[in-house]
Amino acid sequence: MMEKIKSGVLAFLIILSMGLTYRLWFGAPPLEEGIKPKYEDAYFTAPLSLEEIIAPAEIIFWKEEEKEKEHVFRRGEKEFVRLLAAGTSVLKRADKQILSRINDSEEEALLKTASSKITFNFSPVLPLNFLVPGATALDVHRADIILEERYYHIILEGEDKFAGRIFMNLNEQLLNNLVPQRSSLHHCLSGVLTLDLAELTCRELQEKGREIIPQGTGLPADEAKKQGQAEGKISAVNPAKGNEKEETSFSLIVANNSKLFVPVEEMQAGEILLKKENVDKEQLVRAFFFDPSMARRIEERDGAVFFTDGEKGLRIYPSGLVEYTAPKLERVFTPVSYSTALQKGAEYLGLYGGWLPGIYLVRAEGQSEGYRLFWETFYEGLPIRGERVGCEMAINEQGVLFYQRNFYQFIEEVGARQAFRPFEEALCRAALIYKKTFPGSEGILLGIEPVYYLSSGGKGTVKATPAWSVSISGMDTIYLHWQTLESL
Amino acid sequence: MNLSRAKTVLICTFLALNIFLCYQLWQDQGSGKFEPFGQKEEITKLESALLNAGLTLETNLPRGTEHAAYLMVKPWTFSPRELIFCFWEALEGSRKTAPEIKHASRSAEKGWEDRAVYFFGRHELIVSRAGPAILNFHFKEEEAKKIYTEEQARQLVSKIFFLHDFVPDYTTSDEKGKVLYFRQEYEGCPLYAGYISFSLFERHPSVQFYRLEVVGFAEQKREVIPSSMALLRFLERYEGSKNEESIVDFSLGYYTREYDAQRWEIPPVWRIRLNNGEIYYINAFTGNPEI
Repeated sequence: MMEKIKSGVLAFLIILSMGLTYRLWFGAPPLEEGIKPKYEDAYFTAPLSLEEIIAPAEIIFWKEEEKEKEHVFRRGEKEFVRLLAAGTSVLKRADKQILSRINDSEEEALLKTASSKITFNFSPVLPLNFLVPGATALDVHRADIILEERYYHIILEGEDKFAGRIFMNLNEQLLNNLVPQRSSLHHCLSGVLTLDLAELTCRELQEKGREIIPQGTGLPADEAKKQGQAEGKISAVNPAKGNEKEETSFSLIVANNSKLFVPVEEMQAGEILLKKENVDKEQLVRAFFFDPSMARRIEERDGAVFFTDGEKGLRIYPSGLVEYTAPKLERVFTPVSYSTALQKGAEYLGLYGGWLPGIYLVRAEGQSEGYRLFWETFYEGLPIRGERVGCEMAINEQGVLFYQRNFYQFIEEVGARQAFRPFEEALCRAALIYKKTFPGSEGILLGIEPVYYLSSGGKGTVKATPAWSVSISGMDTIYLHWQTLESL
Repeated sequence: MNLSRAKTVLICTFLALNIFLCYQLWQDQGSGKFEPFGQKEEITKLESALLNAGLTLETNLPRGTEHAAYLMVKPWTFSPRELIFCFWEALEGSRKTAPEIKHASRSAEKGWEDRAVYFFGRHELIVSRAGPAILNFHFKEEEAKKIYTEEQARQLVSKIFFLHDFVPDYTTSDEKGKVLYFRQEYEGCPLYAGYISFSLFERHPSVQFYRLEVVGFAEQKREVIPSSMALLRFLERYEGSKNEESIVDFSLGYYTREYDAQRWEIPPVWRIRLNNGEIYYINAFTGNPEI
């Protein structure tokens, strides 16, 4: 009996040792079936190529036959997009081999024999290597294509000025593409502007001392004003009385480094309906937090939802405004170059919501902690402005320190298109407001442009009104209704 | 050959072999706590870090692997008047009628303009939208002994129904007097964000409390960082003090700062309490400090 028990125990131990050896050799069976990892595109929109990151603020076309007239096209216009595509394909030929330094007099000499010129004003400036890989290190704020009979010149201006001559091998199609297909005459304001607040006129004191005719009428200023009064348009500006003539005069100095183009021809626009962009919130959270399970969720009383992992925070407001901060990165100072900041900014914009059509980079400010980049949406050449509208990003070598995004997309036009009130009237109206705020001071005109203004944001659809945006030093930018010139 | 003896020898041999194989399997699975070399290294590192920080460890570090999930909470809403009646009844019993309650919409004190003040008798209740409520008692000399001892303070808390989920935590003392701390608990887990601090100062004791309404645990559980790692992460950031301090408590719970929100998720934390009353919280998922 004992022997049988011993045999049984021995057999059991042998089998057990074989089993344990097998387990040790081949490992334990998996506790659960593994699943193939699911990959998804992290980017909302594909990263832009380098040449697409910065578009010029305006494209100006001039031809010798029209002498002093300039056609200006702005971001968002169809003509702008067309001219930019054509111009970019030409500018890409500006490599080191053809470029040499020139001075102002040499540039003037080139212009004397030009048949036409197309200018690209870049603001913010464009690193040349974005357009021409391996090119001279130059941050370009102006690029000209000067066309002559058998050749064309490229002039690039940054801190230095370079020019190159390329013999004409442009095909007819490309040449045609460099010529605008519609008129868009503008005048560049400069010097001192003397405004007659009673007559609502503007006299530009330069060497020529010319008076700018109100747009679209073809009439002298007095007649235009009378006509405007008859139509009940000008009364909103409250012109002053004649015997207070000295007080009705106001001087505005155009800021030295500003190129302020104002339309000479009548400009038509109407109110438009916009909708808040629809960003996938879950994808957005995953973009900011690699592991969303580490981000805890806080539902605030105003309806905003805040995600944080203790080091960074993402807040999504009920209106759709997105705000992100990473305070820890602010304490880590690592310098970043301008071109790197632009590339990273473009990449992050694509990652954190997307770079949609109609969005343009409008400003880049260097700061101690890196760069601050600003984007706006444009519709038919007019930027869409409003409180916290657009996108702002603070970036350094470590990443994004601050990000605020609030874009609207065009749905449709509502109401009939009507002409903008002349820019002189807008300037006079702004001057009146400035005078009340800063009596006795002379203002510096920093900017004037037509825009769409979003007076109140919302969750659903909102209306944007065409307006004149006027910036005078010391005062917040004023937005004036395009018809009544009332402050918005 | 004695077959019986051979079987005995083989049984012993295979028994020893199987014990050895089991031990190897157990080591492979990482369950073994007997890793003398790895443990020694970790201990050396911790000791060095403690020495550099000027701290000593007077409590045991919890061991083992823990899993936890986020806890969803929301602010506790209460009626100040009901709260006053509860405290009054706990203090005086039903034998004394509650005094009239006068409400001042804003506190006159600078920096407390967002708080509402309720006066009842000689006492006051200060409440704020997203912060703790404070009860300040102003007793006459002969009344002050009512809540002067720790035991009496504990009895008072136990009589108040909405504080039933609070348990005694720790006590501190300074020249003004003793302060007794309670913490909130949920399903046995410490919820450090909810607290009562009972200042046992003569004639002017005060109670400051903050309570959270717990919604529940999130579904997804994940592993928390070991206590040793949490201690190391704390020591990396600890700025030190003039005196030599010691760590008197090291425990796992939940913590959040006060939010003016509808509801929010709070993470598990390792709480590190020093003998000088300072408390630090280390996020048990990320190892980052929770402020």
